[in-house]
This record gives sequence, C-alpha cells and structure tokens, in this order.
Amino acid sequence: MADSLMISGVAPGDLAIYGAIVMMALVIYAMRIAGGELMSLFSMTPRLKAVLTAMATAVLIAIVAAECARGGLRPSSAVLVAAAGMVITKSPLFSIALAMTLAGLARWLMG
Amino acid sequence: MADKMKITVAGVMGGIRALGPIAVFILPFGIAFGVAAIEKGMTAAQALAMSVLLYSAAAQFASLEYWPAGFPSLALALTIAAVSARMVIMGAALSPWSNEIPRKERLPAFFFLSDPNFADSFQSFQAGERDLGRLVGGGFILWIAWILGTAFGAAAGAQFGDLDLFGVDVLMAAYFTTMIVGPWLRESSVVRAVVQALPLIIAASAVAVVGDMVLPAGWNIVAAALVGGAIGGWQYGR
Repeated sequence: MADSLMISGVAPGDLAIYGAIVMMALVIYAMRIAGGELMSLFSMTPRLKAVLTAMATAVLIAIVAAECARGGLRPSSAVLVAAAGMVITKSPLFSIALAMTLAGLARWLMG
Repeated sequence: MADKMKITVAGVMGGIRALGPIAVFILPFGIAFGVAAIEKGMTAAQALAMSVLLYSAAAQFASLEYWPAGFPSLALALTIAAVSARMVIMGAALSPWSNEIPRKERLPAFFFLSDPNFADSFQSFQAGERDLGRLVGGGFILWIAWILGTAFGAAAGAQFGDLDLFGVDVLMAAYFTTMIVGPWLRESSVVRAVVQALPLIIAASAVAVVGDMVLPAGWNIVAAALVGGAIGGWQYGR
C-alpha cells in the first residue's frame, strides 16, 4: 500500500512533511500581506500614520528588548556597543561589526 | 506633489545594494538553521524547502520545536502565525506607500518582507524613496543568502563549530539597534528625539519582556507594537 502511494520516489511521510512546509509558507505569506490589505480598508490620516510609525519602531524595540532579556549581559552589551557605535560613527555596518566582534570575543573569553 | 509609488528594476537594484552588506551576515544565520535542522533529523532537501518557501528565521527555528511528531499540526500553524504576527504590523506600517501600487504588483512583492528590509524600506520611504523595488531587492538578496547559508549548514553540518564565537547570535539585535538609533541622529536635536522616544522605548521594552514570559511565542512583539501605536497616537500633535 505504501509503495502505491509513492509519487516520484517521495514516500507518504515525506508528502506530509512537504505539505506542512507549504502550509507554513502560506500562513507566513498571509501574515506578510495582511497588514497592507487591512489598511486598504481605512483612509490614512496623519494621526494614523503616527500610530503606524510608532508601531513599527516598537516592533524593533520589542525584538531587541526581548532578546536582551533572554540572553542577558552579552546581547545587552552588544546592543549598547551598537548604539554607541552609531552615535560616534553614524555607520550601521561598522557598529554591527563592532558589536559582533565584541560579543564573539566575550564568548571566547567566557568559554 | 510627491511622485507616485512604483516598482522598477532600478529600485530592486537599490535594495540589493543597500542590504547586500547585511546579507553577508545572514549567511551564518542560514548556516545555523541548516545545522540545527540536520541535527533535528531533517533531510537537506526539507531544510532547503523550508528556507526557500518560508524565508523566516524565527518561524523556521520555532517549527523545529515541533519536529517530527507535530509535523503537521494545528499547533504548528498557530505557532507560525504567532511568531510571524509582527509582519502584519510591518505590512500595515508600509501601507501608506505600498498601497499606492496595484494589488497584483504589490502582493508578490510582499513575499520578500522580512525584518531587515522592512527596517530599510520604512526608513527609505520616510526619506522620500518612491520605489517598492527597494523592499523587493533588499528581500531578494537576503533570501538568496538565507538559502545559501541553509545549504552550507545542511551540507557541512556541525563542522562549522560554535557560530556564537563570531557574534552571529547578536547580529539581529545589533542591526535593529542601528535602525532604531539611526533616525534620532538625523533630528536637529538628538537629545530631544531620544527624550521624546523614551515613553515608547520603556513601554515597548516592558511589554516585550513581560509578554515573553506570559504570552505564547511571538505575541509579545504584537502586544508591544499595539502599545507603541497607542503611545504614537497619544503623542501626535502634543
């Protein structure tokens, strides 16, 4: 029976796995387009634009804060270094590289 | 009057140039996922299929928690939705610009929406960029790096060693920090910009951290975004 379900060498178990991957891809794509489609139902006022701008910044802040809280001193230090690097050099790439280098060094020293 | 939004090849190339340097850093992330997927028992083809079709580090790493017993399941779908919920906010934040473009053109473009190219595009559009190709190009180069990284990781497995020694685990936090700080540095008074942003920083951080402990995975970001939006609306015109 299992052999009869084989399609081009893909076993039924594999089909379920690839089906799950496609299902996940559809869920994520739906999330990607949902925001814009919802907003097409409302008119864009300056206040709504301010709300969305703050929401977007809050997303970034939230990701960073949660990561720092979970990871402790290392990511928190990296964030501070990246922020300081930006203020001093105004170069995102340099600031990111500096933060990664110091985090890697800290990992190497602490084992 | 501002130019109308469009999608052009020049815009795509601009996005590739802007996010190209960041894509180099995405490679190790992809390698980390490839290694983790193989260690969990996935085949290289399955890991690659995930990276090609999902293109979401957070969702893909989260899905590994369900491997193999929970593959597929409703819980897996809900977890993927929760982890990806912030993309709804990102799409809404880009809508003042993206919704000027016909649906049949903008919907495919949003396949490439991810955290780094959202941050880049949002800032670019605020600064006057009128080409959604910026989002597509940035996302495309990151997508390629993500797939290549996954392939390397799946092929070479644990031979890469501890990627944290290269600071890979702090890449996203560091990148987002530069995205948060960047706009303040363009203000006439940096101190004033930071002070004005303090309520947002404190509230979003607190909600994200507490929510991380009490809410299902990913919903803390959504909650922080909603609180942030409320603060933005409250501060408007004050």
